[in-house]
Amino acid sequence: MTPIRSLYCYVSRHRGCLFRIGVCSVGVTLAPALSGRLIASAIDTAREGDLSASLAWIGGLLAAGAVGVWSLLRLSHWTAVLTSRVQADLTRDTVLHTLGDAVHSDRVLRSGAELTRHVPALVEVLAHFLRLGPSGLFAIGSAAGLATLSWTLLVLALPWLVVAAFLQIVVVRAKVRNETASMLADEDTHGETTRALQSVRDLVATGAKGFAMDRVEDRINRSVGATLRLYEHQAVGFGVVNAVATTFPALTALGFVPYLVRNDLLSAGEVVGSFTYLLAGLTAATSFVTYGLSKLVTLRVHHARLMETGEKAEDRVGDVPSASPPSDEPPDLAVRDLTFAYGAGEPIVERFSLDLPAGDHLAIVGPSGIGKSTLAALLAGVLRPDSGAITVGGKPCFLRPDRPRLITMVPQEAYVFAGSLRESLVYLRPSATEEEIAASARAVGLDRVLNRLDGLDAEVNLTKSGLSEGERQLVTLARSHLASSPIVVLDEATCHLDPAAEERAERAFMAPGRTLIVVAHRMAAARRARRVLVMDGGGIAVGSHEELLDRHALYADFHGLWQQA
Amino acid sequence: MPEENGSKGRDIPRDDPPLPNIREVMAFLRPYARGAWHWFALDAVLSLLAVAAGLAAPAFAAVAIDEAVDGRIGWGFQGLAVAMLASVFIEIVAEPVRARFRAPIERRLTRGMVDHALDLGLPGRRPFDDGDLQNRIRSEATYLPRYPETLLRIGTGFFTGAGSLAALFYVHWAFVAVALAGVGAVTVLMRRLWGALTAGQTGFDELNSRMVNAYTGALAGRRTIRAAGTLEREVERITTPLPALADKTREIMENFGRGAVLVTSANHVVLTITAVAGVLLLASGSLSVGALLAAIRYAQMTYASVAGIFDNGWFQIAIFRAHAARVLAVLQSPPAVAEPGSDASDPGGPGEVRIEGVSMGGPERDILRRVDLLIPAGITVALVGRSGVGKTTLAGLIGRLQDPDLGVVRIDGTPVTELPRDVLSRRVGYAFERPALVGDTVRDVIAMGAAVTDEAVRTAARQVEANAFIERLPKGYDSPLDEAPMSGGEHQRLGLARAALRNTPILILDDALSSLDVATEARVLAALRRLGRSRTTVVIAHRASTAAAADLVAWLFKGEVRSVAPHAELWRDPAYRDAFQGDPAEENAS
Repeated sequence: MTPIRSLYCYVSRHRGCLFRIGVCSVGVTLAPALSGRLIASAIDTAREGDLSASLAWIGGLLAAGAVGVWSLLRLSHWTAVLTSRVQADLTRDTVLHTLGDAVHSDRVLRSGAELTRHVPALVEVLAHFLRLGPSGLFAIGSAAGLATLSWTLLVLALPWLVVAAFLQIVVVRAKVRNETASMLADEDTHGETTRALQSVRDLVATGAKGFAMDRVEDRINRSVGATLRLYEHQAVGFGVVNAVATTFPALTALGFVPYLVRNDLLSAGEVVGSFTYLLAGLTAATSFVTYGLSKLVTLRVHHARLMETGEKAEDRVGDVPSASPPSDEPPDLAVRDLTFAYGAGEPIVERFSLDLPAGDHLAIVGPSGIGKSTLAALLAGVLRPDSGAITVGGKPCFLRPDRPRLITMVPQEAYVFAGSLRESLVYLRPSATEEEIAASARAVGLDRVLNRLDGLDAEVNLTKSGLSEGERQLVTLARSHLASSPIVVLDEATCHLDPAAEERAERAFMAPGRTLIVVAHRMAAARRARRVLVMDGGGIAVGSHEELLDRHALYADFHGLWQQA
Repeated sequence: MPEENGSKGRDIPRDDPPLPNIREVMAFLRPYARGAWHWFALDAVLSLLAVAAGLAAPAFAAVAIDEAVDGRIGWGFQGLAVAMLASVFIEIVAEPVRARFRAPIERRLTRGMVDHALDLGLPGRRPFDDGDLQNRIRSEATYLPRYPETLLRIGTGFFTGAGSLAALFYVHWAFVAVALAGVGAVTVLMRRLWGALTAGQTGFDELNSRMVNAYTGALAGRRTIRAAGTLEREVERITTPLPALADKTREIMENFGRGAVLVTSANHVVLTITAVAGVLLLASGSLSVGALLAAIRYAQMTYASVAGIFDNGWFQIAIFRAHAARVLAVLQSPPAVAEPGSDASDPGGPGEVRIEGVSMGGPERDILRRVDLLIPAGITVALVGRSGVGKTTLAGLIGRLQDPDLGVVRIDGTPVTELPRDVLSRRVGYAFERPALVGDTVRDVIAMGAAVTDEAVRTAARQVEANAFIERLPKGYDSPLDEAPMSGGEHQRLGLARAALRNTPILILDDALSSLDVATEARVLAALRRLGRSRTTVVIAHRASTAAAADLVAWLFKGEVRSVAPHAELWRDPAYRDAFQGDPAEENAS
């Protein structure tokens, strides 16, 4: 969709507002559009000595002004209403689109700049467009007014306007290039600054602050340079266009006025009127075109940035329907001929099959980077298998609507949001009672944190919270425990806990009938499990702890080193 | 739990400096603008020329009209042409001149802000939220360079106003009274509007930053959202402040709209009264047609300049002062770790670390309590203890990642507070559990600014078993970081390679091998030991195997060093074994 169309889509939801804005815009332009004509008549009647007629014309001017002021008041009200509504819609859609994109593609293309920069930029463009209405109408009104005074003058101005229009196209093209470059340089600076600020510990520890500062400074210089170029080109380009579109036609026409007067084609009052229209009307027309076009560029640049996407449409995850009927089938998990690879790389799993009857407890172990998390994501149904199938209760689990009720997946990154701790805890089960929350908190070992933070309604701030990484993991664990779904996948979800806390949290999930899959970060987790799945470069082996000790060299090696200690 | 404990850690106290006044803002910007003032002077000259051209145009137009009414072209028309062309020309030149003045200020100010922000301490311990800090650097600091030109615009506004009044007086004294009445009305009303405008903006900023924080948090928690299928609920939650935000937007826009209405209505009143007076004078023959038009134009210019002073100048000043205060708050925050004043040199030494009576407060309880620990040069010490016991904090004190509240850390006898940063970073190296990687390529990330050969980088990577996976990347060591998909263990090994490359006499491994499997961990540790036989190594360990491989174990318990002994000796103590795999029941009892 073109940027202008997509902006119009938002505006057109509020047609009533738009109509009122249109009416008010006409009212606003009434006075300036009539002023030349009215002043011309007032002056001519005064020169003829008819003072009362002259004052009547001025009364007309005052009346038009009153209409204009009232219209402007209403216009600014309706513009504010429309803009704020579009801002709200646009913000909501942007959050949905960009967060959705991050959720579906597991890539973050953005840094929050869309809410602080792009959306405000688009809203500002809209406000400018709405304000352009009056200047466009004023230009048309001035042209009409001038035509009533003298056709000749209007025709004299036209050739310049044609030349200006051509120049304008060139200028705008350059502006699109410059503005895009400037915006990208700005985002680059933002990104590098963020990276430096997040890396302070490492920069201090390696004495590499200078290195990071050089990088940041380089980005700053480029970004400031790009902005400078943008301003220079813009000032020269639009200045020249402005001269060609405003000053030149006005001077041409005005130079011709004495000739018209000599031939009795223009009265004294009409001279004044012509001056008024030519000097003010052309300025309005130019600002309409120049400003409008330049804002179009801004619109296009920011819109393009907002619409970028990294997702594969087929991987979209639907939300949980609020009342999906619980399945009667026992939630047996079955893997059949599963194959998965990232892009064209080595497959992480290949033709792998496994049965996990309800109530099983599986630990996944293996060297780092071997694909344990990927396998966990596949088992949890949030990653699409290349081939083969993973079923729960006989139905494929990838993206099925009741999947989040059946399977709770706890990733390594603890997601605790700003707000009360309670909000974060009841996230997966909003209807949980006070007792249930307390029980889950106790089960995973969060109760101590709750005591420290003055209970459930403590406000947790995202960045300055008193929560350590381990405590945040406890919050997500308690939340997942509260969800009490029949299958739980812990993907290194306890990696920031010490062994004792880890064991306590993990045991909380070991309930009869509940399937537990743990991506193990310590070997102790493997000993607790009924079965162990070992991944190494060569393939996947599954067995009990004792079996694997006997027949799997790598597993024995892991474990041997552990016991030696 | 006492109440004050709950809230202590969440807000690090910080005093925002009071709003600087107009002169203080200028004084603050002055050093950043050094060497660029000729652009400002040029801007001032151009602005005055623009004022002159603007003031002259109506006068010339008046003459030109009178000439036109007489059916001829004379100096009025020529003067008008010159004035109009001059205005256009100045407009073309002035903005680039202003931009050239702003550019160095923006460059230096942004650089200075980032530079200082990096000294404010570790993420999470800084006195500003990350997003807030970014906002101050990227948006408020980039706005401030417009301050001098805004002051200039207020000045030229006065000139325009005064010039128009003088011109009006020259045309006919009666018009001056009319214009002054308009100016008075505009001034009174604009001042009243000002308060409403600034008040509205603050509320908006608060709501907006709450929403942006929720949004960036959700971006980080995308996997949880995907697994839970709660995207739409998340959108709802993030956009909760939206209706209030929309109300604020409407309120602010309406206030600005009222300003515009004010200006327009004043315009009409002035225009009408001037026209009435003009027509009367015209009928009595004491005024020419052109002079009437000039009077109308000057009257409008008078009040428009006043409106402009408020609109483009005075209202903006309030915003500039607020921005300057927030920028100053960053620049005036003391650095987390102060550099020694004198230019102390590297005293050298074998790498003995002595920690004496070190205490460190934390959000809810003391992290370290009077810790004494001697790490003799050349040995490997493992720091062992439950998570949260202060191992990372203690290790961070050695390389001065932060300073203790009490006590001294000495390296070979010299307090670390007396060692300049570059000396310290040559003596103490770190590898972390989650290294932050800075640089474009894998090579950059390992070298991290150190002037070293490719071979040195390769050797360092080989020592920590990183060479093999780096070679497998599409472009090897030249692979751009954001195109190289890496697991947590691979990240860790890049961090280890970075430390290995620096080959410091003291090396601190802060859980830096946690994502490596046990076999790789053992090989990497052995390689690091082979490389630096005389190196002092401090290992933070969660695995018993790591502790067993160390010469000594410093066992931390409840913020204190409970014991220093070899692992095998400590292992007999069940409480020590608990640090690795303790019983949850015991934890409840404690």
